[in-house]
Amino acid sequence: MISWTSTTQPSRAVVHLSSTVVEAHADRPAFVGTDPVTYGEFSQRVDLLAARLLDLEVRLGDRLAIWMEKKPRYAEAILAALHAGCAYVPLYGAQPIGRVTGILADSEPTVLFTEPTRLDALGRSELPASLRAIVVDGTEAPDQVSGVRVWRWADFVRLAAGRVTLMPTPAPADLAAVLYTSGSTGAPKGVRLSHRNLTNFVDWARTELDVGADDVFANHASFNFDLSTFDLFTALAVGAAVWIVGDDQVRDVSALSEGIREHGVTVWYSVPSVLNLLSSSGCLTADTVRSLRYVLFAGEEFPVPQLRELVGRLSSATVLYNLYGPTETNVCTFHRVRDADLRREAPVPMGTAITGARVRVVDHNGHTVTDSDTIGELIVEGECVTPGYWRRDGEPAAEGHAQGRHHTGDLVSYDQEGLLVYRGRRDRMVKLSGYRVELGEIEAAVLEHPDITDAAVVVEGSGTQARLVLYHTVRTGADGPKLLQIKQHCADRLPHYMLPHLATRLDQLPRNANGKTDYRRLHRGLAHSTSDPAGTAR
Amino acid sequence: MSPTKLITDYIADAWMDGDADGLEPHTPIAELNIIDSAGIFDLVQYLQDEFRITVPLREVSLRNFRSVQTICDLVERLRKDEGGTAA
Repeated sequence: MISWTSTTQPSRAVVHLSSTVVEAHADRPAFVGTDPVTYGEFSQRVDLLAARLLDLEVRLGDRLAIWMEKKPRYAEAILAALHAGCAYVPLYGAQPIGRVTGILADSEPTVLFTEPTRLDALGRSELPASLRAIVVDGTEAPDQVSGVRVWRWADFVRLAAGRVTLMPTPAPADLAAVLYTSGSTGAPKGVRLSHRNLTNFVDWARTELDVGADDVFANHASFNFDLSTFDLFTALAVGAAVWIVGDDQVRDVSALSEGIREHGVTVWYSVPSVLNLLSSSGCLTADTVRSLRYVLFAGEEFPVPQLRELVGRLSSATVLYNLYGPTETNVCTFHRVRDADLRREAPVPMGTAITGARVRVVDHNGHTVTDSDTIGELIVEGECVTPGYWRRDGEPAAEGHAQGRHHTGDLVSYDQEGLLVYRGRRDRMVKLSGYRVELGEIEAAVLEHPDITDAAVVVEGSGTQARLVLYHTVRTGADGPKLLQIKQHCADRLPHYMLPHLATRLDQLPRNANGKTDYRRLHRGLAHSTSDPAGTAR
Repeated sequence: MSPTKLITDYIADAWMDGDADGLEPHTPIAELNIIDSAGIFDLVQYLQDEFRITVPLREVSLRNFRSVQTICDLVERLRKDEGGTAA
């Protein structure tokens, strides 16, 4: 289980696979899909792996990195890490090697779980000195890489068979995961999640939703994305099955609808853009949606016309929820979608705080807002708030975290019913297809190009039409890279969803009175105009 | 005009502001964020109109839309399946 607020063991507010759940559901599926696993098998595999991790003398709070494609074995590594008292560091499968080595260097894991092809790619990079072992899911693997012992998964766990090992007991405040997210200064930053953060969320989910062992959860989000903590830990806590959507299926509407049908998915949680892809492609037939009991979405705003279209395709018994929360708080507010919400043009509210979260709206003078329609920043406190970033005490939000508070940077207001409504961002973080992107990280990557001297990235358009547009200047005398070359340059440094869609070269970037890039003047109309003081587009 | 050229031009106009220098048949257009999953549906619409084919939903996956070459292969295959003459 993922147990925590169990009345018999209140101190066990930690995320783990409960023996009670495993015993009750030993022959039932924990994972369905290409590599199905029962609870009995899964528990055994997790135990063996965890026992071997302890052989490596991992300690409470050590980080274990996982860089693999999405599959049950990924979940096995996550649970084994937690059982061994360590924190899992999930890496997005499809990201450039430079970003992977950056995250490894920053998180200093003791063990890395990966695959042969990825290990090949890593072989040419410097690995952190903290690494004691690399465990590879595959048959072809060298004995060592850069002086680090490499184990084939099967060989690694074989040595644990038949042994009884006493597992450490983490405390609720101990580290359970480090999720890396886009960082404004160019390097991804790790958000620390404690056991308490996760158990509070899963406790809320189990109370709010009527889910049990007969349910089938789709795990659509990548494991490095906080949405995945709902699918994985809520399902395992109640003995439900999880269908892990493969990396090559996540945006493939026919594979997704087929999976929903084949596995009889009852609980779906994803970003709105994926739900919109499903409904607009016409593949959500009555036959497909029949099993869906809950459809939850988070990560970006769901335009009401698109939501209406989705609801029209779902069974009338399906219950929808809008969940909200940055990685730093995971889900902190929720709203169960009502018929009335679909009749309005206003976006669906973010709703009210989940159990264990306290939310406040603070205006620009620092005063707490209580009336409706005054816009302020959303401040979150309580069990859901991260203990802080991983080794980033200088981040603006770090001071709040030390006091159990997260300043979200999201502007919100209360509507007439007292529900929170999203109103925009304070800073330069954007959401594209649900991916959290710091525009500054893209700029930092662009600036590593030898011919580019200045760069500014803005978002033009909104919703599915949103485009990342780069404005840049080039070194005197240089020809300057073309759009495709810029994309290729960035693809070596950033995940695909952060690559600029368009690039416009300027003589200079527009500046405000303080000499900083004036992003407001950087929209295409102005930048293309030869009379604009920003310079001439070429 | 060849399907390769037509499709390349369409992608250049629709998603690259016309700046398609270096866009080759094997350029990985999804990996380079030239076309995203929502964009694929616009492209499908274009293919259906331009080449008078029907692209079944099961073919609308990144596997077939990885590059201009894989899109051309798909068009070719669908034209044959539908009994038309391949260009």
